[in-house]
Formats: sequence, structure tokens, C-alpha cells
Amino acid sequence: MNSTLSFDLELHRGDRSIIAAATLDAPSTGLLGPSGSGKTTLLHAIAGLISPSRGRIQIADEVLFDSKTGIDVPPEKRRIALVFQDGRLFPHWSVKRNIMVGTAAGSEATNLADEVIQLLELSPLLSRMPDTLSGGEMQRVALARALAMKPRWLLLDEPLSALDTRLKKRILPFLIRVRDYFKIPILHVSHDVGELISVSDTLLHLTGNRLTGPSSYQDLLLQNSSGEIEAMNMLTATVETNQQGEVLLRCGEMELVSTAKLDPQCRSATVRIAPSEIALSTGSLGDISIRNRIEGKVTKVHPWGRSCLVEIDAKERILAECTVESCRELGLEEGRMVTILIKASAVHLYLNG
Amino acid sequence: MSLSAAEMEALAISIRVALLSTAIVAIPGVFLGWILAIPRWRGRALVDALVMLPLVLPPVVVGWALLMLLGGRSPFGIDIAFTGLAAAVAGGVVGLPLLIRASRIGFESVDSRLEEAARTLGMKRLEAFFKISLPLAAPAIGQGLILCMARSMGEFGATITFAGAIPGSTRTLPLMIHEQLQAPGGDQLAMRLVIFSALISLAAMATSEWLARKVRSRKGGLR
Repeated sequence: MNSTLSFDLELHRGDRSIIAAATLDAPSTGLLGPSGSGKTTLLHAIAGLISPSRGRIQIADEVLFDSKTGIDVPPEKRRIALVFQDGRLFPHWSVKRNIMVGTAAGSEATNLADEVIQLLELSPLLSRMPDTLSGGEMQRVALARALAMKPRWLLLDEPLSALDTRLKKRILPFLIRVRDYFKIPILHVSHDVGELISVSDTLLHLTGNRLTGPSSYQDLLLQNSSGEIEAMNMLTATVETNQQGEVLLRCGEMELVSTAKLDPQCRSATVRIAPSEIALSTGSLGDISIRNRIEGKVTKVHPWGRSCLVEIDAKERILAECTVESCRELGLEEGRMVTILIKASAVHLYLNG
Repeated sequence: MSLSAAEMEALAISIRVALLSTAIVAIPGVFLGWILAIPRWRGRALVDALVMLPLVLPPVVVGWALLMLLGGRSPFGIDIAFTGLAAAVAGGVVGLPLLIRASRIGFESVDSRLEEAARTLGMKRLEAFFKISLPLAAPAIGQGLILCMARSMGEFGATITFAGAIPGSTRTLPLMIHEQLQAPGGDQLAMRLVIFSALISLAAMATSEWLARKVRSRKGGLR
């Protein structure tokens, strides 16, 4: 079923306006932008909670909003689910009733709800009231409620921002599960790059009242030389060994050591390394405590805010941030061989699915 | 402490009038509370002031206004003056501001963004109101209804002006107390009814306070 979401619209919020046009057909798209840039406003317009001042929104051939013909399908008829930053569970209803609120009658809908409850591991919570849930549980229930209505699109408005890092790491796999299992297209808003690229292959960027993309994270990052988008290395890894506080990982042909805590059962993980935590060396190293030393060749040096982002081919593509001065001193340019140095504690791990 | 037949009758009339008056103003009161809870609209302050008038006007003025509007010289051609219904209307009008104020606070305490969430989950606007906002505001509305009922039960000035003090029809407890106090040595007689009235009022306030506590304990969202 074609569920391409396309929009071309102008939104007014207070005295500011946002101009946004995009066609989204990826299984999952991330929407990145600084806070106050209007990400939530854009999601609300797509869901039908606010009306654009001009433009058009459609899913496949079905027009949901068109300022020219005056079409404005109300939110309850759009079948676009929105998971809010603060959950917004109905406080007078049990978890079960919250989840069932958007479901249609009939056994098919009940089966879907059961699947959702299983997938998000909510069975033990069904009879609880929302005010007895933890933040992470609330967001899982909110996600289940959105999925159980069998939406055509799932809009996530910073669903993890109210949670601490530990909880985020636990909820993220559920989002990936949802994406892979239900095959409902997702538009996911966040200001956390790592969170977005864990779930989404393509990104939109909303800044200065304009929307760019969809494009891949790397493209978006490297096109935007102002340094406004947070740079991040994301690699998929298999776990080789996991003992004595050290995890040995394999990413393609590259090996990495991490001191991050990882469930011993876990066989694969997503690796995140901030480019600012990577050092580069061009000479001999001698004795050094850094556990990860990887040989690579510089493929490009991008100006990056006040520093440089060095793109290195080390079997995998790695981005390292260096000051302009060290780039000059080390003579970093295309073709130069370097050793990439990463402390084991800088290799952060996230569970997959 | 037994009551005479006439006193029992006054008590029964009081209860009937209080129930009827609350029933009459329940829907308009909740509706006005809901309207006034909607932030920022033109004329809100004026409507707010108008609906609060019966609370600050001397009840006798309210009674006179009702007599003008719904009495023998009614511009609408409706004459209910000096009937049981008139006593209920008089009680309802003076109780209405309390119901409106409580309902308004109830609706204001409901996170309006919950209705947005309900809309995206497939509920029509009216359905979202009845399934989400109204139940969440219900304890406050209940509190308002009780206060309104208690107020209308104690109403004197508007009732005597608009409905009179007809035994068996509009002579409620306060009117009866007033009558007893007029007679020589009547304060002994009236004391029993005074105690009775006080107990009823206390019970109403206690119930209302219990509901208020329920309102405070019922909150939603991440916090």
C-alpha cells in the first residue's frame, strides 16, 4: 500500500512562519532541528491539530489539506497517530482502556492490540492507572495507544526527551521493533542526533524556518558546514566477546573495544562515537593507553564550524573532529595515512531491536 | 427533637426546591463554566461579571428582577410568580454562580492537550468533551452542584420576593424560621430548625470538601 506522505505548506506560529515541503516514502524519517524551530508545529499540522495558512498535505493520492480547495480533513479522520513528548495518557482510564481507545470494533483490531501489547511488553501493566507508571512505561503505553489504532503514519514528537539516558537506551529498541515489525512509516522528531539515526535512515532538517531534506545523515551533516548538526559516528557491530568489563566488537573488518556495560545475552549493538572524542596521529605512537588504534586513509577534510571534520576510510567511514591548527600541523589532506585513536570509554553502545 | 407537621412540610419543600433548582441550572451552569474555561475570547470578562452578579447582588434585588421577568408583567408572557417553581428558580439563580465557578475551575484543571490527543486517536470534538474533559472535571462539577444546592436551600430574600412564603408550596425552612422568629417567644421554637439547617449545610460542605480532595488527587501526564 502506497503511503507516501507529501506536504508543501506555510505555517504561522505567533509572528514566525515556517515554510516546509517534502515527500516522505522511507520506512522511517527523522526530523532534526534546534528547539523552537517549529518541529512540533509541523507535526501538529500534519496530524490536523492546526491548519497551515497555505499549502497542501496528502498521503498517496488522498488530500488531507488543501488551502486552494478548502479541504481540511479533521484529525479524527486522518488516521495519523501522534505520540506526544509528555505521553498525554488519559488519567481517568486504565492502561488497557488507554491502549484500546482508538481501536475499531472487531477481532482484527483486538488481535492488533494484543500484538502491540506483547511487542511492547505491557501485559503486566494493563490494569494499572497512568499516575502509577514510570516515565518510560508511560511512553511505551503512549506508543502502544498510537499503534493500536492502526495508523497510516506514526508521528513521534520527541518521545524520549523526558527520559534519562538509561531509560532512553531501553526504549529505543522498542522503537526499532515497532519500525521493523509493524511497517508503519514513522516521522520521528528529536534534537538528539544519535536517537534519530538509530531509528531513521533519512533525515529532514528544520532550521531558520526552512526545511531541507530528506537526505541521508552523512549528506545532511556534511552539507551543513555551520556545525549546527551534531556529528556522530554510528556503526552496527556484532559482539565477539563480552567479559571482564570489556566488550570486543566487530564492525565489518574493523575491531573495537568498549568499556560500556552490555547485557551478556546481547549479540549485536549499535556503536556511537562522537567525532570530538577521536584523536588522530600521523607518526609513531610508542606506549599509549588508548585501546583502539585503527589505521585509515583520509578521504576528505570538511570545514566544520570553527574546526574541521576529517572523513577517514578505515574499512568503515569514520568522522573525526580536529581543530584547524592540528589539521595544518599534521598535514591532514586527502590520501594521508592516519592512526585513529579512540578510548574504549568513548565507544558507546546501544541495543539493537 | 421531633418536628411538627408544618415544620416537616417546610423541610420537604426545602429539599424539593433545592433539588429542582439544581436540576434547572445544572446544564446551563456546567456549560457556562466550560465556556468561561476557554482562554482568551472577546467578551469573556463581561460574561464572567454577568454570571457572578447573583452572588453579589442583594437577593431581594434578584427576586425583584425575577418578578419583573417571570411575573405578572413578564415580557415573555411567562408568569410563574408565587409558585413552587418560582421558589426553585429563585434558589437556582442565586446558586448558579457557585456552580459556574466550580465547573470553570474543574475544566481549567483539565489539560486541554488531552483533547488534542483524543482527536488524533479518532474522537470527534464532542466525543472528546464527553469522554475526556467532562469526566475529568466531574469531581469539581459535583462540588459545584452541592454548593449550588446548599445555597438554594438557604435562599431567603429572592424566594420571599419572587415566590412568597405560601405554606405547603413555597414556605421553605429559612422562611419558616423567619416566621417563627416573628412570633413572641418564637426564638425557642426556631432554635430547632436553626440546628437542623446548620447540620444540613455542614453535611453539604463536608461532601463538597471530599470531592475537592478528589479533584486535587486526579492529575495526568508526565510529572
